[in-house]
Amino acid sequence: MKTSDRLILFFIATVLSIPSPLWALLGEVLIDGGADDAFCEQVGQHLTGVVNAFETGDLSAHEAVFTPDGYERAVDLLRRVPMENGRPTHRTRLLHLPDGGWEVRGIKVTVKMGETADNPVHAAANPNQFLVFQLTRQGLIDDIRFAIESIHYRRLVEEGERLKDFARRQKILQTLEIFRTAYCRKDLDYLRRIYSDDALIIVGRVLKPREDLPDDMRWAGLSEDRIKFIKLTKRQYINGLENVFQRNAFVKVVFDSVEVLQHERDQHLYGVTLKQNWYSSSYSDTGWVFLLWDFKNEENPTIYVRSWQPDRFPDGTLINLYEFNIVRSE
Amino acid sequence: MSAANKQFLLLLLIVTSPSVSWASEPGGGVPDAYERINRLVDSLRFWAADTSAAGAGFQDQSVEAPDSVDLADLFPDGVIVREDSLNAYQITLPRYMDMLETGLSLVINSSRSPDSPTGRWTSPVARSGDGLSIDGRLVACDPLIVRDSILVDGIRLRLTTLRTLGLPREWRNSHSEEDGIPVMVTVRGRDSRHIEFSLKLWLQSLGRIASGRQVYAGLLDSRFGAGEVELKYYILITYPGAQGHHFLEWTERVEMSETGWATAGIDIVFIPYVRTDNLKNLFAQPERSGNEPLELPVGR
Repeated sequence: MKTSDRLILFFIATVLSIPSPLWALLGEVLIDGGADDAFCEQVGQHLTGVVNAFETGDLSAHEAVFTPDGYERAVDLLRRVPMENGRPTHRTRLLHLPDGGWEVRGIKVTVKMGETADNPVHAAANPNQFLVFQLTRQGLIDDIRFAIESIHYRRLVEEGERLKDFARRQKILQTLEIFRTAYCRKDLDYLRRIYSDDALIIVGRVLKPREDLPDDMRWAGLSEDRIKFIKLTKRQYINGLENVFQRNAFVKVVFDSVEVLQHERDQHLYGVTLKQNWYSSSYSDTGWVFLLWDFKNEENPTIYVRSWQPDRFPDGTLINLYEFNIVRSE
Repeated sequence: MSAANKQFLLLLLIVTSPSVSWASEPGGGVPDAYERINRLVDSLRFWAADTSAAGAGFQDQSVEAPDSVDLADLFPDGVIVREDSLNAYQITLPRYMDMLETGLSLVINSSRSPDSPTGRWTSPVARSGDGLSIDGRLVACDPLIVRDSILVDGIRLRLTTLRTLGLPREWRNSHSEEDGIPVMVTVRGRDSRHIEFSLKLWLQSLGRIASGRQVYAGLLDSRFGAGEVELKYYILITYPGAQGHHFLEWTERVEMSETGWATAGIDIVFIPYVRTDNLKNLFAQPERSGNEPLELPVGR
């Protein structure tokens, strides 16, 4: 046997003789906040020792950092669920508990799934789990438990967001009703307030054929859609509205088919599409109204865009939220 | 003001109270949103200032066993299941807009005596790992709140109180509330109106508004701070076939004191008369036209 082969064999034998914890991924728990530095460092050292001992299944060398009950519980947990450290560095914080103790969360471990022919591990089972250490006021480990699985946590957060969005949409629906009533009440003050000074008002006008021309010439020169979109400023729109209110003894506005859509990126922006029936002493019509509404200030929601079109576009669509890109200047 | 005038004013307020006018909503001649909200605000202001009956209806009261009163009358369209093993009734309101769920349990005391209540309400609130399970569903809640059994009990108690608000007064869940807890109610309408209540008067007032209605209540949000917890609940008051409903956000600040957790104050955002009869889609999905969006700079 050549010298180089001997060296390789010696190296392999040496590596194999190293105690098993070093085979596992060694980790370090760094506590960087939540209590004074000395306490954080002390807890970090204790947890580092415990986490690195998981692989051997023997916590006896670290018994002193547990409460008596905590040690028993930890040994029992490790016996039932063998595990090992899951990452080189766990950077986390101490959380102060209401009863005066502490909690350290987010310690990643790899759980040994114990798969056998009789006990196959479910494909969806995740070997990576997170531990929560519960500590006494003095920093002794009193309990170790698994944190809620992240997939459940995400679902939980999503549910929460959906519920919060539901609450927001109640405000939108009510604001819409107040907004509708403002037209019926000819409440210009409210309408002035709710439209942003920079509001973009788009009014679609149906172009009527000239009745005095022959049939084949009536539509000559008109746009394909026979609708002309006119852009107004807030002042132009409100002035026009003031004239309408003065000219008409009554104005009645009814909304049908209300649809609420939240902007994908800006959670405060909502697009509201509704079918509007407008009745007044001198005029009535039906059309589709789109409102781009900002609920960032919930007490004073603001409309940035109002569009009206008498009918859907030929492809069945309406002006919607994604026709506009709101750029907020802080 | 003379006693006769006061009586007349009280009668007028009862006749025009929010729940009464609301009940006549489907018919013609319906007052508009401005009027209804103004009436509601007037009623709330009157109730907030009424100190004569403060606390009278909120003493601990026992609940009659449901032998004499049919629970189905109290929870129309609700699912009522008797669980003999628990000696309890499980009541679940119909799911609201595929979104909100509300359940109640009426646990019957087996030993009935004049000195002991014959039943007590509770809500299905339990710890589930690091989360909070309400009505069998995991709800987003700060893990530090979940780990505190006193706070979890407090959430259960508050939800039970809110969920029984629509019941006749003697059936409502009640516990000794501190009358001094300030409640600031903001009614959102054309303008925001602020009305100060004590907790007892507020619960009385809310009970009047919710009477005979279905009340959905749940936890909307929670936050654990230094020695302080903020719990945000929602309340939805409706009835089958209603054209509108009331939606409230109830934000409760709970502080750690020498005696434990105690409610320090409550803020209510009251969104009345929310119409859903013309609602096509509350959670519409985006449908892009493919056009280049028009850039709109806004000043805030």
